Amino acid sequence: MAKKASSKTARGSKKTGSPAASPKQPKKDAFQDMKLKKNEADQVIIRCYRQGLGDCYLLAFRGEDKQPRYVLIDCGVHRRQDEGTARLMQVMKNITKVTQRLDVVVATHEHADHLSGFVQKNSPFLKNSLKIGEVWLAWTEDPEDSEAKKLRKKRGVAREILQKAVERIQSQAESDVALSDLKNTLESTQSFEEIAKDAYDERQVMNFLKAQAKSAPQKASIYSEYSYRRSVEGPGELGAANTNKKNKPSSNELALSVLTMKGEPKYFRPGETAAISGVDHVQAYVLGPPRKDQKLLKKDRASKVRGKEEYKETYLSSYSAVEAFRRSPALKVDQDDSEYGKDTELPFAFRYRKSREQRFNNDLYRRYQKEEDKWRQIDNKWLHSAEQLALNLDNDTNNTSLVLAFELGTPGKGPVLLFPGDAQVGNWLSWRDQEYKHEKTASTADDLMSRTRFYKAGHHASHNATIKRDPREITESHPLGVPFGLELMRDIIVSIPVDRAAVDKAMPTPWAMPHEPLYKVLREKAKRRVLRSDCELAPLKESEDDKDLVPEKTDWAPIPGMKDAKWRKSSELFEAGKQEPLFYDVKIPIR
Amino acid sequence: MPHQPSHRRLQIFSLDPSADVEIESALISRSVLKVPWEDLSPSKDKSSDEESGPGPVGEYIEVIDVDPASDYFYDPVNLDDPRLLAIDGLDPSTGNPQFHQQMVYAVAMKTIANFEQALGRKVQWSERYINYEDLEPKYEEDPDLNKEDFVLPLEKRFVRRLRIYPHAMREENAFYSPRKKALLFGYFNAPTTDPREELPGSIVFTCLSHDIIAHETTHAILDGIHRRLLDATNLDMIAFHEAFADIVAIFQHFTLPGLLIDQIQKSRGNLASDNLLARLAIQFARSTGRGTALRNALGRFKEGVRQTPDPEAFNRTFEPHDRGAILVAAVFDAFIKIYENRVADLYRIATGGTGVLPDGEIHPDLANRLAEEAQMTAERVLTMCIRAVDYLPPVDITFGDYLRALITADSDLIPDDPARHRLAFIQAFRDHGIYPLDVRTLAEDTLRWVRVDVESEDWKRVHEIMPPPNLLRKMAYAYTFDNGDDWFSSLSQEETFDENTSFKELESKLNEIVGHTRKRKVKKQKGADSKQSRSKFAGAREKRFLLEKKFSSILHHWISLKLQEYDQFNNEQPQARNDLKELIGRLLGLDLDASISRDKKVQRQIEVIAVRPTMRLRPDGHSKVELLIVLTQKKYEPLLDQQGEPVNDQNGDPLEFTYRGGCNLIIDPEQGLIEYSIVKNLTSESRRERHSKFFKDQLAQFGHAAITHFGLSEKGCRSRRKMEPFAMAHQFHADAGGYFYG
Repeated sequence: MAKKASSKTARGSKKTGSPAASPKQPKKDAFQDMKLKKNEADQVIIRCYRQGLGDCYLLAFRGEDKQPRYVLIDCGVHRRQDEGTARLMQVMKNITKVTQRLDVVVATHEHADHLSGFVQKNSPFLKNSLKIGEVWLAWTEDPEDSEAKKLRKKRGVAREILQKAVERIQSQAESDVALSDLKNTLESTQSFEEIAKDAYDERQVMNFLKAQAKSAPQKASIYSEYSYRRSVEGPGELGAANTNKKNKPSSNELALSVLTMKGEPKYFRPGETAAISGVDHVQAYVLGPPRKDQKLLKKDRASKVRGKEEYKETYLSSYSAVEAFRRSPALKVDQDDSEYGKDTELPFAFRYRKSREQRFNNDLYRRYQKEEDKWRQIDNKWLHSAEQLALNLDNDTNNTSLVLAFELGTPGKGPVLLFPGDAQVGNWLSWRDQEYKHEKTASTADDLMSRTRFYKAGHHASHNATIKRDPREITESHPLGVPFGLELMRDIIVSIPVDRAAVDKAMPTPWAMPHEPLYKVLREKAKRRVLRSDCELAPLKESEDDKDLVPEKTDWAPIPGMKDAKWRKSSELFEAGKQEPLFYDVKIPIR
Repeated sequence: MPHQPSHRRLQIFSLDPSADVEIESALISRSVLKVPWEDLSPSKDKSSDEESGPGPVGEYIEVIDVDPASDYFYDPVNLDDPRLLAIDGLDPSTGNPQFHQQMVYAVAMKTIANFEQALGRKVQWSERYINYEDLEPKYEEDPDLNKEDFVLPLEKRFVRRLRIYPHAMREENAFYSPRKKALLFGYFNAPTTDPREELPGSIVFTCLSHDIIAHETTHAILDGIHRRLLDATNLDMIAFHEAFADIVAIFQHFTLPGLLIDQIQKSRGNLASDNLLARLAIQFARSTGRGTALRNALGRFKEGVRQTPDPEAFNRTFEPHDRGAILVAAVFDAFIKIYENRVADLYRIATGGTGVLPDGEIHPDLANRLAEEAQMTAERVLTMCIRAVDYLPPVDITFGDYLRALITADSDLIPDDPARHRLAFIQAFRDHGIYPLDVRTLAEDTLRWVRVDVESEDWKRVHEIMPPPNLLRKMAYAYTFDNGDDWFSSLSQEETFDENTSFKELESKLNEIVGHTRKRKVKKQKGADSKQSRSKFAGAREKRFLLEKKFSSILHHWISLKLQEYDQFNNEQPQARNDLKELIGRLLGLDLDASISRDKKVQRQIEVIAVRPTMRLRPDGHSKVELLIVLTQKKYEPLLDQQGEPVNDQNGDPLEFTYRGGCNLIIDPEQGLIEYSIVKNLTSESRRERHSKFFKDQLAQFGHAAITHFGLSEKGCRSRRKMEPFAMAHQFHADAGGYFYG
């Protein structure tokens, strides 16, 4: 959507430092901690960091001993974010100012915009002074889980194929303009896989891991398991990863290694309930990622709802759509195809195939090769399937998001904070397959949705990461499926970790984040209480009375339309990039 | 020496290979298609690239079987091999690539033949636009950019053959590439895990699906007829290409006799019950877990019962394939109505007057008669649907326009309609919520485009700017004469007309072109040599292309000169002059006072995009010849939001959209007078607003991706188009599964 002239001037005036628009730089002692006062009732404070396109949330709960307990959910920034590294560094400094011990660190899934902070150059996470209690991860990261192993192996193969395809595309892109667009698209999709190059010192991370492994040898195996490509190739010597390019672990894999070496890893399966040690009034329900044995994943896609096509973007099997592409002999990847018969990667039997030399004897083939007919050749068209493979890989990783619903207070009654990571439709739908038993009652996903007060928008509010209905269940009044997800939520605050400027850098096709129709509904559901990480005002804004509501003061102020809840903005501003508040704090009472 | 055969018999899979491996359907799984005969034997003259031969490489298509993903090239089939001629071509086989070549050739040729029969002229592929310096343009160039706007001029080039690649890629996809003038078919491993649907992991070839071949070929033919259909300016336009391609594929099912009789028997003649004829791309759908058909022309079924259409649904359906499916369902519904009307008497005869069939199978004679009726009805409906394309407005087409075109085209050819075919269409479209917004009632006479009143003063003014009737008549008939090679070389010469060219010169040029034809014809009769029949026929389409290019150029300059006169004359009476220009503009959908933006001198970017004849046979035995002239004009309009602020792209540059108007003139060559002027007015404010809103909606929904997809441009820049609009259509509008907000 176009940038509004009004928003431009707003930003412009900040840059020029007009006194009206730029709040004064805070004094050192104005540090905003996340502690509750003694006389205050139990509440949760959610600190939504605003580094841009990337997630980082710090939650403070009150422990039984009245001391705060801290839960960090993700810490990353996308490499397209302007000044992303510097901004995230300032965020991490703020975290260490709040606390030197994180009781729980949640790493939702393996994408750089959620993990880059853990391995960024000079990150506090690479120092021993910052302590981590538990590390919460999805079962898909569990080195012992056989299903997870299979999944990782499959993804490893897909990555390798994609790598081969990218190499081939790069070598041809000079001469074929259609391919250069494809190359950009693939780079765009893959940009979630790796941290920005200059933000990253691999040696520093490896040295840290080595030192950790020495002091805690029992954990060394975890690291090697995390290197998925190793798990395909067989485990290798720790630290040897540097020597072999093919086996080199990605920055995301290393980020998970750093966390699991520092803290105690815990792997969660859907249907389980997680507890923060020392906090008795909060339970975290694990909604996703779904497992294969769940009904939903039995079939690859198509739930034949309403007799029309339905795509399910769940991991594990969605590669079948690109199966033929994967097995293209022209990619020259050695693959174990024992599950298929011999020679079946080729569509026709031997007698129909002509060798390279033979084909040049054919008039028609010579015509195909003619210089003036080059414009009609299709030698590279098949490579475009790589786009689908890349999208699948990306969606699959998003779908392995650990989804947590923090319930505050009495089980089955309290308000809920929903952190879906970047879960997509397959993950969302699976939540309805389980329930959480309490003493007498039980909570369902529907019930949790309807009690949600704080919603972290999935996948930067893209078009396919916030669901509105479940088409598997059809009733008379809901012929397209019963309402689910956002449709069930009412009275919420929404946080969208997005920066339009970073999103628009994606070429040739900028991502639709936030997706406008979804954004409209989010605003409606949240009664305009939408906290974005960029300063872009609502693109839909018709007038001044219609812009997003955000905290305007650095002191706690009531949230419009929300009983007892309060919010404030950070007095500290980002030093790099746009000089915006570092975070928004939201305080939600436990009734 | 026997005569050349009229057709060639080729075996194909009736629908696709899936029926071939099931015992219930094995008997009907194969058919023999009759396609127009052409010589396909290997050429002895190795130097000529234009020769037909194995591939098959014929007059219209060339099948080239490269498989880059497998790094193989499969030998082309020689259909003129006597061993194949004797047995109707190769036996259907999934494992023999040469049969694949034969099947794509057969189905594509059948589709072409259907179009030629309905349109009464040769099928032409869309021309290729290239600019001189850059033979591989980065993006599909905008053909009607004014030469003065940009440094690089564009040239229209004739494309003789559509290329078909039966094994182009490894994915669940097949598409028409307007840029490569080629059909690309993919193959893939069946992703299903249910062996009853398809052997898991087995290879499914999209080039073995009758429906997919017919569908993609139709995309290519339609692009050749009406290039502007790719420039979507409303929701219907995105859907129209898809829907039309489905309609052609479905009605071609009825030309497969074995399948038809079988389905008539199974359904006891009730074609409104679920049957294979109405289902599209069965194997493709089953092997990819999409259900029993990719699309079903009978709409939705609930527990085996067909759901009555919901007229409201059309207004709620925005996804292009879904929206297109409504048009397909409406047309099929019209077909069912006509068919049921036609066979009611047969049922009464067969049942002693009750019309109620006893239980059990129907009598084979009855089945044969029903099949015959179904086949005739299908042919009629398909012909109606194809003919309507010539009666569409030049730009900004809606489904409502299509209904009006359908009714007009048919009633023009067949004035009385005893079987009430047109009524069936009107009713079926109404039932599906499709109707034009610009008519007072939904009756046949109001739906017809308004016939021009040639006696009126207003239209006399319009005729004044057109070439005189005798010249228009010559243009129409020029296409019907055969012609020779000298003429071809004279046609190939570039013509330069400018402001100083006089009407006299234009007229003599036109006479020269037309006269030349006549002369050649006489000559040829003297020394006719039939040996070279193949190449003579081959040249004919290219000559028609060049002829049209010439006529367009002459016509363009004729009208420009006339308008220049108007600009200059009557300077003492500016009011009268302006009124006149306004009048002519309104009747032709043009803005004759348009001063084009971009700081250029006043230009009217009027373009003649088609001058072509149609020849049709009327039921009374007379042939009806018409000349179509399509004029369009465009403006660049800034995209503004509700506050009137410009909408920008990601770089902050203001966006523009191309706003087009114009007319499709249908001319009676006997009189040399305009019969119909089907107009989309360039001066219409409301239509421009609708355009603007459409583009803004797409931007809001898809973000900046919509800029290239819908051909928006930065101010003052050439618009960038998507390279493969058909390959992307699905991805771009993927989901719509109803999970998300959109």
